[in-house]
Amino acid sequence: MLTTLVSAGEDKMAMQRKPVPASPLARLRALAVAIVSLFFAIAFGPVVAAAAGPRSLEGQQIVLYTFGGTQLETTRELVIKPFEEETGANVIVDDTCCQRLQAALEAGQFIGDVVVGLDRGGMLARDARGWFVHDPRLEQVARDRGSPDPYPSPAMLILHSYSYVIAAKDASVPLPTTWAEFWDTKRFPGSRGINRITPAVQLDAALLADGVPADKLYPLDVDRAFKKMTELRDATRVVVLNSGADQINSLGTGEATYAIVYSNRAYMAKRGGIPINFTYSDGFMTGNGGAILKGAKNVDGAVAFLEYHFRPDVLARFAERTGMSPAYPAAADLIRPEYRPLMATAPENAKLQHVLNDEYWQKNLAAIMERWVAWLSQ
Amino acid sequence: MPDFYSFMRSPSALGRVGVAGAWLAVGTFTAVTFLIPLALVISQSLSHPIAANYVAVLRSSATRVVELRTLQLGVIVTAICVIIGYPAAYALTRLRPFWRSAAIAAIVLPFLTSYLVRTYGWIAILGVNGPLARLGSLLGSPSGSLNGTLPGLIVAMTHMLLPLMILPVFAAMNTIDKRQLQACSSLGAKPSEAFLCVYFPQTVPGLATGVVLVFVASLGFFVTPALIGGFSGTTIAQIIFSFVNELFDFGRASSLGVLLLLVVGALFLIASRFVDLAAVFGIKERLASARRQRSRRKLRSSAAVMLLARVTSRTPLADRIGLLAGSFLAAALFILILPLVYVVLVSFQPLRLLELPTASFSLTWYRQVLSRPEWFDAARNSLVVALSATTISVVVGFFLASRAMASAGIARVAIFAVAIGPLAIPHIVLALGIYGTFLRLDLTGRLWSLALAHAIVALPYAFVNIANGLATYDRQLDRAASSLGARPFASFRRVKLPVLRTSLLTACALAFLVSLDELLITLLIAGPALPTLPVRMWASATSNISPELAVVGTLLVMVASTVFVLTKLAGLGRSGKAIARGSVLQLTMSEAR
Repeated sequence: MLTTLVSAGEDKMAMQRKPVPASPLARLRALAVAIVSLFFAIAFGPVVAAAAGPRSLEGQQIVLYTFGGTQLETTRELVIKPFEEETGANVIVDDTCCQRLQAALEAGQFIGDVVVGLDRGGMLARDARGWFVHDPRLEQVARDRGSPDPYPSPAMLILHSYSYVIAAKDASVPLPTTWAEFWDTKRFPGSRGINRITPAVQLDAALLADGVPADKLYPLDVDRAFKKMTELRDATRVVVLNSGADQINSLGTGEATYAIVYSNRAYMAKRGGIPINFTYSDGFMTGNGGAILKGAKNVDGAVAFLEYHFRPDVLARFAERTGMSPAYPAAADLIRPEYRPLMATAPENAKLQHVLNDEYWQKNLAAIMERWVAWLSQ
Repeated sequence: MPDFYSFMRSPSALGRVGVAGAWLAVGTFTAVTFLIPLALVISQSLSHPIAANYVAVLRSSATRVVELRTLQLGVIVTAICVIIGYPAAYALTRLRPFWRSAAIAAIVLPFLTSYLVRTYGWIAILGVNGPLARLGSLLGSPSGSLNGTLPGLIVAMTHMLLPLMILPVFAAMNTIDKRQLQACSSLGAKPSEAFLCVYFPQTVPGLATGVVLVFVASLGFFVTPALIGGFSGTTIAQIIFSFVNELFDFGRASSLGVLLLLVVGALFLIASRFVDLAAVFGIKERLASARRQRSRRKLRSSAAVMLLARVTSRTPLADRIGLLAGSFLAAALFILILPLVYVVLVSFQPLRLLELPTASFSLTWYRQVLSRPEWFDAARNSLVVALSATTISVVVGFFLASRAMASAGIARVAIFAVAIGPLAIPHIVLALGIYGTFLRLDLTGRLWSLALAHAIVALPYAFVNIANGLATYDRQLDRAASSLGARPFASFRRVKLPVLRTSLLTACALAFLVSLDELLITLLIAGPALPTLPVRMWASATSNISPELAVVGTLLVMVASTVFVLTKLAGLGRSGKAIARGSVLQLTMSEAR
């Protein structure tokens, strides 16, 4: 097998091996910037130090590897453009994430400096493969902003929170508020949409529906969960959904009466005039963010980009547009009041949800996936 | 016998250098785009201990079930494509030229819009609010939706694959001289006897081509089963995808891909026990000795055919074959066009939702698309790549098909394997193999290397159609031309090319469409600098499906229809046969002069 797991130590070496090419003038400027920012750092503490002085990355190139679509449009407008203006960096966007990540990294090919838009589960799995550069600055910036991240790590910066929630096609049908109700096809008749790509969340939800207390959920009783899944399939029509886009389209067209959907999708759909209905109650919250890719040519630029993205006002505007809540309260406070109650992290919503155990899933996904495929193909 | 092959084999130094050069070019091309990627995939499927991935895959009951299901789905869809496609192709040959080209355009047109959009079209048509909902409730679906059911999936897959059946069969039928049937009837044969004994055998190569293309392509299907198939839509390609994308286990993914390749190979082997595949595909000269050997078996089978013909000639349908075939053509066109109508209508949907009917009529998404230059860049890239890939694959396909006819034994099998192989490997696995190879050779991110990669994907479609054309080609035409004094090249250009016109056009059309719709390889090797239309559509569809995709599809169809109407007005569209006959006639006349 060609897969080689690169240890964290090697990653750091790779990081140091690749200095950023700079002209003498740029170096002088960088020095000046460093002195100025040191002054600010001493004067205003760590928060400002995270954002270096003006035009600190003049002429540098940062390759951002990410997904396309509306989220990228928002990222371009709210993050990339102002970041370029402030730092002088040039951000090149590759929106074909993430098919070639593995093949490229294994062939030692440069694919990008920074990746943004992956959920925590996906990032943990990729980090376990050694695809991310570990940089203590990422963990530091999360701490400085007071991020309540349950899995702090130098490998990634969790930017947003979102949730897997119960949604209904519109207000004409009653909305289940617990997984037990989602499973109750007598009181809530109609089809159910579940997600094909991964068994995560759905098995967790099945166990809650079957009466397992939330604090005794992990490690999952997989047999019991699959039995509960089969029960649902026998009781009603189950629509198998393939993506977040598919979730909303199925609800919007009435193909699925109820479905397990991403909260940010549900938020966007509602804002776009699609009359779906959803609740945070009994939802599973997880994170979404960015990381520095192995073989990055501009690690400092990547860190600066993630730090910029992590700023409270940036995250707040981003949340208003996309429904992805900021990862920490100080940023969530900047969200305009009319949008605040719709966020997954709003206190009244947060207390209704569970935190998805991404670490459990990262370790057990391969084994459970086998059974999941078998169950799907029955 | 100075036909094209002997021209290529001619002892002249120029000819030899030419052939050697061609082999070198074709060899390099297939090595870089297929053989080395295949070797890479195989090496990645091996682990420590060497066959661990294979053992794990074979032990998994889920994989076995899914593999069986995938094969089963392939058989069903292929059978339906034969049942609809064969009579539809026959009806095509009976249409007047203008309507025939219009019908062919209608068959090809859906391929211009991304299969993703068409799949969503089917989701709406089959869905709870769709026109088929009533039929669905009759079939026992409680909500009336056919989404997530096997019948729904089969209809959608038939839509996707039907052109691969109709076009080759039509190409084979189009070279048959219709006067043969008149001759049969004047000799006292009933229409059904004439059909079964004279007409049908000549269409077998085309039919075999269609069957192979549809069946093998269906095995690699991924998006449509995933979106429409529900529980019955779990296919092997999907498992491979989840190994690559969710579990990052390239070893397992590769071993599954290699296994699927082996299954396809085994199916070919089994089939070759019963049918002479080489002869069917026309890569074997039908020698007189072989004919004599088989004559006894043939005698028996022809007795059965005669009996069948007698029986069918008594059925009332026999007189109405034209009408019957016409209705199959109508059904085929209906299945092919229906989602397109949906695509056009849904492009006016104001919401970010692929739903009909729309609440109001809106041009929002048109404004969105037209305000973005990246769509036009992508369209230009797509066009350049598709044209180059078509040229490469048709030239290479022609060369390989001709060489396959001229060679025998292992060499022929090898040519066959190289030319069909790229279709038999699941696309994602081939894509990763090509990507790995191109990375190591530093070929990524370039237009011409993308065209090379597309060309290998298109090669099986080109090869099979050209081989099919060569199979039905009457070699005596070459002899006639040469006896009339035509030099080999002149007879090639003025007799062979015109007669093979339909097959070549089919090859070009399919190769072009395959390249135009290719996503995975493009996604891997093109990179951010070279977006193509499917990549742009994919990028905007993965995170949100919006009517924007339908707008791009509608614009493409509009452009294609305009081009079609213009070429029709310019008066292109004579049949290959007429040209061929005309050429022989011209040669005769020049000889007389």
